[in-house]
Amino acid sequence: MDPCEVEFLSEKELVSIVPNFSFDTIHLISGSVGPFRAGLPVKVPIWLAVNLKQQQKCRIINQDWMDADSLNEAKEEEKLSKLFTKMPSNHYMEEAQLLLNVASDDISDADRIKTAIKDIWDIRMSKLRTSIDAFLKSEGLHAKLDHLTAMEINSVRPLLPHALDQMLRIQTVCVFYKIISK
Amino acid sequence: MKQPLASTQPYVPLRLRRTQKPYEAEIGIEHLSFGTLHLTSFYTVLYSISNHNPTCWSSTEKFLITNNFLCEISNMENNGDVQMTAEDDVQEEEEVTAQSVLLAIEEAWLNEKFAPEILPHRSDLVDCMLQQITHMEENMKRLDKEDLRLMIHRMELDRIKYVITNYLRARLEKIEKYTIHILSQEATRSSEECYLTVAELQFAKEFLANIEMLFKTIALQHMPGNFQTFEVDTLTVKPNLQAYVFLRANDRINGIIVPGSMDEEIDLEPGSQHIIQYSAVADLVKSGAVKLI
Repeated sequence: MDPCEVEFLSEKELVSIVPNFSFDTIHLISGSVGPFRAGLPVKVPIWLAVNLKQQQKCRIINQDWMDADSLNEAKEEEKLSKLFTKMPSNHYMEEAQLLLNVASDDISDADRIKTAIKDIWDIRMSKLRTSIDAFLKSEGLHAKLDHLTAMEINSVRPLLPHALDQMLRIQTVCVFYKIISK
Repeated sequence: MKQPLASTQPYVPLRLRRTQKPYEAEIGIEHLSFGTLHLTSFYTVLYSISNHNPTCWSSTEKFLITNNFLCEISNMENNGDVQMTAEDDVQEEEEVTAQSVLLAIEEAWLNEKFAPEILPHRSDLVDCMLQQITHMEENMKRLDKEDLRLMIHRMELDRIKYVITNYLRARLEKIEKYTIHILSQEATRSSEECYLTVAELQFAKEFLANIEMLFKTIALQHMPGNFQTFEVDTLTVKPNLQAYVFLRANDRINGIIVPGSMDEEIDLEPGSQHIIQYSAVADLVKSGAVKLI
């Protein structure tokens, strides 16, 4: 899957905004949003928040978890844990990217948040690579991938299933030749 | 990471919609030209639901779908007229929201995208969503050009259309790749449990006929007599059901036997994520107990 499709999926997540206009509830097919009252926070999907922000019709409020200190804590925890820890959102990378890109003026500490997210991503990706390596060497047939987020799974999609498919092909051929040579 | 798409750019399907009418999703026109031979295959999937009166719509997003309403649409697809009996009318009313249909379509889209084989069609969802879109577009015509809602609704519709067209296109790609295999499988299924919609089945048959014609005109007719037959069996491409897939469990499932192992069994917790061979979970994907991610 294309990374922008993963991002497309992440844009369904909700985020709080403070609109600077007033409007009644809007009935979207995917659910109703609003009512919008100038100055009062309201939850909308990210795609809408980004669009309103680009038109300068709102201010985006940080996701609760997008806070430099708690992210740094999560980073330390991720470093210490052998397994993957649970992330605050299944789309943490994409959400952070989208919101920080469009609303870095609304979010205090944007730089520290960005660094923390990037660090977490790096730690998790290297962990992922190591475990995939171990998994392939052990010739496993099944693996549990709890707490892996959508973007992380997508980033190993071109490699991991393909490698396993190829291993299966080689094994099948080996078995076939063993039978023949007997 | 790639630069994210700005949300002002609508997720408009790329090589799609040559017609102006919003309810007609045209899936592609392809010209194959080989030297002197020109084959034009038109494959269009038209959802002509425009004549249908949207009685099920209420002013909010809640509405009713009756099963025979869906039958009605498929009947219209089949033979152009509506066959409905009075008894069916009262039976099995199912109340769903547009939101739940949308979520179901998104799940069907991802499943279709990641499953190696073609899955049972969900034209009920697609038809229902297209109806919603048509209705919403009608509503939008009444809005003032300056209205804030116009832009928001349009963006949402573009997002939904992207999902639907991508879903239909994923199916068409599989049909083109595994035409012969799918057609032979489909022949063994009864009309209730068939995997393809009527339009897709027709497309698959025409596609195969066109390939056969192409082969014959270009090469086979110039071959010596005993090589001239179009050998369907040798051309069959089968999906690799042993491909590995990522999945997330919706329900608790016990005792899936891992293929290739001696007798290793695994249990899936709701919400847990796994990578495993598709053949082990194919039935669960079709029943909706797990979803591919």
